[in-house]
Amino acid sequence: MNNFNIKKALHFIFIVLLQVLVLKNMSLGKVNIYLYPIIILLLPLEIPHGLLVLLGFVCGLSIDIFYDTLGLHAAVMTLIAFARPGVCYLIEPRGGYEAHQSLTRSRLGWTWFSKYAGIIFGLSILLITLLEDLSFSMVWLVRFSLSYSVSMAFLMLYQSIFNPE
Amino acid sequence: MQQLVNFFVRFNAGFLFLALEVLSLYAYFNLNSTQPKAAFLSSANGFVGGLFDYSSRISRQWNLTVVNDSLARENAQLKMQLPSAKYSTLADKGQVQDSNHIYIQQYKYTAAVVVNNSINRASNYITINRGSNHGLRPNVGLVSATGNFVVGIVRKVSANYAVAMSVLHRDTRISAKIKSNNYFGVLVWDGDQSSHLNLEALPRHAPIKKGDTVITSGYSTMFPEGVMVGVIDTFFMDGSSNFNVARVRLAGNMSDIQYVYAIDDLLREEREALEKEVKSDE
Repeated sequence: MNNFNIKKALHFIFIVLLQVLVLKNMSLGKVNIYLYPIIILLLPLEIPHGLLVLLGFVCGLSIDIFYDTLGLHAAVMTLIAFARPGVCYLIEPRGGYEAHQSLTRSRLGWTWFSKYAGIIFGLSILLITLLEDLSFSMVWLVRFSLSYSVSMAFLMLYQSIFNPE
Repeated sequence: MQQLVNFFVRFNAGFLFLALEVLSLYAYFNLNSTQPKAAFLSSANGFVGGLFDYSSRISRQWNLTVVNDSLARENAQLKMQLPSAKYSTLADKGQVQDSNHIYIQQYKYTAAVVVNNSINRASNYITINRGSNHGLRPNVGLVSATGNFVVGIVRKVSANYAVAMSVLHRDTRISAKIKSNNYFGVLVWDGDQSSHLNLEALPRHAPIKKGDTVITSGYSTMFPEGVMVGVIDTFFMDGSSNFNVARVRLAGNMSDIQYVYAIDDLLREEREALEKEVKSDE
């Protein structure tokens, strides 16, 4: 259990650093690449809901500190973390989840994981871009779709390279 | 730690969510617009700033080639503005004229990177990454950017590259002089050490001292006057020709030249034509 927590913490730090040191510099104009929601995405299924929300807040806040957007990512990730059990319930595979299920591609397959990641990432990036622009417009739509597709591509790339258990 | 986890397990997630959401949204809409930003929770704090500083130091390393190139180009531009790179049309000191009319550009500097170089053959060549597209032409002198000493003479030029005869070449003949007394001779390489050249054909009566500086004479059109060559190590009398020969240690290492300037004399044609005319008259 303890070993598991240290691994999770290192994963958290690694993803945050990857996001703020590498992906932040790779953004093309206003099209940003967001990989950090993967922290919330890959937390185990049976994590207490309260703890999940708190972790979402901490995760968003640490991104905010580096992006100088105090509150933006924290608000979005808090909501995403709160909504995650609902999303998991909606797309529950036939036969349900196993006990101590980890929500990864290697456990639940490409189809399920793509659906899951697509919803979580879509919701995160939708809310982030909406809060940044505070308007529905053509520019916003282009920005959102581009950010979403590039981020998903990076997520799949990340999955293929590390393929967490 | 376990107690903290238990606390959140028992804690109502909905209430926690609402509290954190309101807190973040309040922070986003209210704290970001005020002038003195919450310094602790932004990249202005020491840890985050330090991390960004460190990462930018790494990324600056990646750009070093580009920065060096632009600095070399800028240096070439600045060298062209030096009075020594210009030709003064002023006939006597008392004359007063608009400075734009007094000086015309004589020497053109082009920065280039050495892409190929050798020092251990009998005839060594240097290839640089500038060619006729950049205004380079044959018989133009090359000077090292670090140390400003002579390194070669451009022989052949293609569109994007030029091949120069290194000073470490059997056929190199560069007119050079001793800085302190202006006695001049011819610089040749004996094919022995890559660190030394011979200054030949120095008159017997020329006073030579160990440690004298040798510079180009400007008697040929390939180098302007005063480009550093090196310092005299030893000297001896050449028995066959009755002239003195000085061993000159080059001012820099020929094996690690990276950036060079090609110095083109824009008034070369006029001078060469005139000198040729006089020779053919004889």
